[in-house]
Amino acid sequence: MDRAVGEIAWRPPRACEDYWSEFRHCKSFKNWFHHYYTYGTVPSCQQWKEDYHNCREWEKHRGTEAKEALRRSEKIRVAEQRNFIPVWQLRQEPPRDWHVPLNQEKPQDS
Amino acid sequence: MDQTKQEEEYGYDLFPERKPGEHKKTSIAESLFTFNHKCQVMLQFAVETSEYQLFSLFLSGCSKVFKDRHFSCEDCDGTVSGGFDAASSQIVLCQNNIHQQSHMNRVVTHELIHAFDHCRAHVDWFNNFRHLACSEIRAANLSGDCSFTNEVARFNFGFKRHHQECVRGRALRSILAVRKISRAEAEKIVDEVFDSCFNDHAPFGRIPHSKRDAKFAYRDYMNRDRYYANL
Repeated sequence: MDRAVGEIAWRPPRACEDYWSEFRHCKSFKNWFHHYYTYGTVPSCQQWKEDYHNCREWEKHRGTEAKEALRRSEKIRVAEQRNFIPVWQLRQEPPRDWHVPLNQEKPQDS
Repeated sequence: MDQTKQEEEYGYDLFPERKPGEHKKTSIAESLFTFNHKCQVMLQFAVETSEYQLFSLFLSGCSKVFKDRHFSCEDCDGTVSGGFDAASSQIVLCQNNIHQQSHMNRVVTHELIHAFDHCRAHVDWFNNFRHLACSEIRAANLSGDCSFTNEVARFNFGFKRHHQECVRGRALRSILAVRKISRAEAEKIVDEVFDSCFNDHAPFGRIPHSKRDAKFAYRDYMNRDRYYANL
């Protein structure tokens, strides 16, 4: 297969077993309970199962359909995690005084 | 600003051993006659749990959390269990109000979420109520404060969607405890930021209700390079 120098071959974002364990976890009673307690709805687990099958399918046949379906599904998951407007601005660097020893801190201006 | 006014305005009066800008070392007498030693022991257990190990990895730019530098066991007023002091980058644990290991674990997680927010964002703890409310919502949501079992222990018997009610209520209580604003004003601020902050599950990627949730969150974190490279 022709590949550009330095290009890393694509593989599913998660190991196939991870999709299956997420599916099993999603279907568990505990998860149902916590989901209903939090959202008042029952969890939807079908997507994990589909992703698992696409993952295995890609492993067997390396088809583009399975690959694209997986990528689409994961992109939706990422978008769902980011589906809110942040209240604050993220830092570029951690706060400077996180590690400053306590005795060296200057007293507040009064 | 006048020291006393600052103490009252920012909730420092709940933590009488803590004056803004000062640091006091615990004397031997204090260790013997207060709950200080018990608090230290419970804290040690708390930091040895796998959940803590996991969390401290997440602490964004703050890379290392040192027990002796970033935690302090102190006597506090009222029923408050702990706090995060942004001025000294310390998590305060109320040795006179935490008596069980499970409670200690929960308080440590709750305050670590504040520390996490402090490390990854420009949180204006002292002047921006929306920022404070947001961090309190996240801490109540993600620390296990509002688990079904904990709520039942408080005689709050709700089920469908009760978690959100609990988060709202506890965030409100936390704000009212440390800032001088009216309940109505605090409720308005919580309402404004609730949707945004309730849905911000960083660093877990999910609301960790169980050990398996925490385990999977850790797995996702360790897998993050592969995950984003193959999206």
